[in-house]
Amino acid sequence: MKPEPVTADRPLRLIRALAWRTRTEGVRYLFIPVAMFAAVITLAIVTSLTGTGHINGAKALAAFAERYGAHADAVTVGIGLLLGPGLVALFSCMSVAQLVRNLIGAEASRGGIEALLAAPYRPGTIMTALLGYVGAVATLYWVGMSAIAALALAAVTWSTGATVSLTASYLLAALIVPLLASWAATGLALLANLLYPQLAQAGSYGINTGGAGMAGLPAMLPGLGVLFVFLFWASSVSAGELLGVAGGTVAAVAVTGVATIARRFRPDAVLES
Amino acid sequence: MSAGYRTRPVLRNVSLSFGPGLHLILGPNGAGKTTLFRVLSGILRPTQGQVRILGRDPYVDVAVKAQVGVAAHRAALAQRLTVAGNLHYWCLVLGMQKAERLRRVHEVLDLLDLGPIADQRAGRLSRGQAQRVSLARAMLGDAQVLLLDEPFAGVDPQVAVQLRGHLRSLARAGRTMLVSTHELAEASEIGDDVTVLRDGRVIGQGSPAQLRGSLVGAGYRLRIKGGAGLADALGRAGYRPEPSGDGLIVAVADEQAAQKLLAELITAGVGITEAAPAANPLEELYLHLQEGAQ
Repeated sequence: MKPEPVTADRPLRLIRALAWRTRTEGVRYLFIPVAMFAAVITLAIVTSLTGTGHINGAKALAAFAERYGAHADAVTVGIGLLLGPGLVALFSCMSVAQLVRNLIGAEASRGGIEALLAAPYRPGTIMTALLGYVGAVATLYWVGMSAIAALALAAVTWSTGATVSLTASYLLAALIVPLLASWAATGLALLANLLYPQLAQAGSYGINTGGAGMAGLPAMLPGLGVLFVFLFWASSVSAGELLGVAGGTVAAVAVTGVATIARRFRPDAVLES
Repeated sequence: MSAGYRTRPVLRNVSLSFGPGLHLILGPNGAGKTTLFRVLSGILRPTQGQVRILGRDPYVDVAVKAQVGVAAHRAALAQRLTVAGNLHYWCLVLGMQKAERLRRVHEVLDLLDLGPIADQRAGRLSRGQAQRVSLARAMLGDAQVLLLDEPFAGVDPQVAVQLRGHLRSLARAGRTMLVSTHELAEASEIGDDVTVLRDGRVIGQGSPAQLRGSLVGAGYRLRIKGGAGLADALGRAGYRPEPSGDGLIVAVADEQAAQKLLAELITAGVGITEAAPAANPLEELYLHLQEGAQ
């Protein structure tokens, strides 16, 4: 009698296959979003430090702030401290949205999702694997972008001669909240692409609906939220409160997204799209 | 069983059984062929009734899906991976260990003559090459059941001949293969039997010759001279004459029936313009289905 084939129905097997595919297709492509983030940050720093009296130059900005009694160096570094975590969160979320669009939207239109559904996996196992894979890549994005943001802040601090002494609670908030935001983006991107797959199909709602990008918009909300929260709240609430409120909110969004997918995902919705 | 999607039912009270061999699924667009394959491969759950593959429900008992190889209408290859890379990736999806993976990839590359293009990127393959890779992927798990959705679509004639040969040899090896196709000339040559779907229902199943008799009665075609009076007389005798130019066309099931009708017509002094086998019985069948759908 022919031996029973190995049962593949384990998320880790599928994650391993996706990781192998990512590596074989070229790991360098994985870091394009991180490189784009580095380019944007570099551009911002260079523009800021080389400004010669224009409003977007760091010196002019500092001088502008000094009119109202702020110390110049502190203002420059402060901008970095306020914007850095938000930018990391926003770019991570945008990158996750793009990743999920490729992984679900583009694969569904080419028949890749149908092929996976025909493989010896339960739909729930496939969803878990996709969630695990995107979550892992989102974490990689966050690591790369956080490192770049930290380096950028160090460069600005060094070049302006400022000294900073960051508290543990700020560091925790600046690191953890963007990470939670990228995980929330993972849940929202998968939710939009799997439950409303037409959103990921270019032109499915006409020519004026932004095409396949619509499914990615919800995933950007956590990033924008973190950007605005740090920008407008960070100076008036403690880092601990920031971590609790912003972190709690994006964590809740992530859990809600995943739970909704688990409850409502139906393979025929993807196939119909 | 019945099956479909959230907003539209597709298959209605379909009852089918397939054993080893090559079985064709034929029908016009929207007949339910792809939905049938999705149910058989455990992607969709029937809304009514049940499906069994090797005695097990593929939607519930996903392990049995390892025994089902699927080549969907869209090849769904990873564009940046090579042909061999796509096969390795799918082995990993199926949970194979490295030694088994290398062996199986090597075997299917050989079996489908894909060696020369093994290192070519999937994004640069022709439609026919991509179809062969898709078939190779379906065979990686050494599946006992193969579901091939329109494998001949867009394939040039030379590749179609090769594919046909591969399918025949797989069927001879004892696999159960279901092939849906619009390429009727191909279908009439390779199938052990044909299942005809229309509007989600099975309207016929059997060998091409059996279907010719039971569904269309178009094994032979007689073109005769005559008008409405002759048409009425033939209708009373059980034939279905159709007007054509200044005469009639009468389709009959087989050679014996054609001889009998010819003798009667000659005895009655009716002029015979043409008596010939239908060019392609499945073509006739398909045209009949299209007319019915309209």
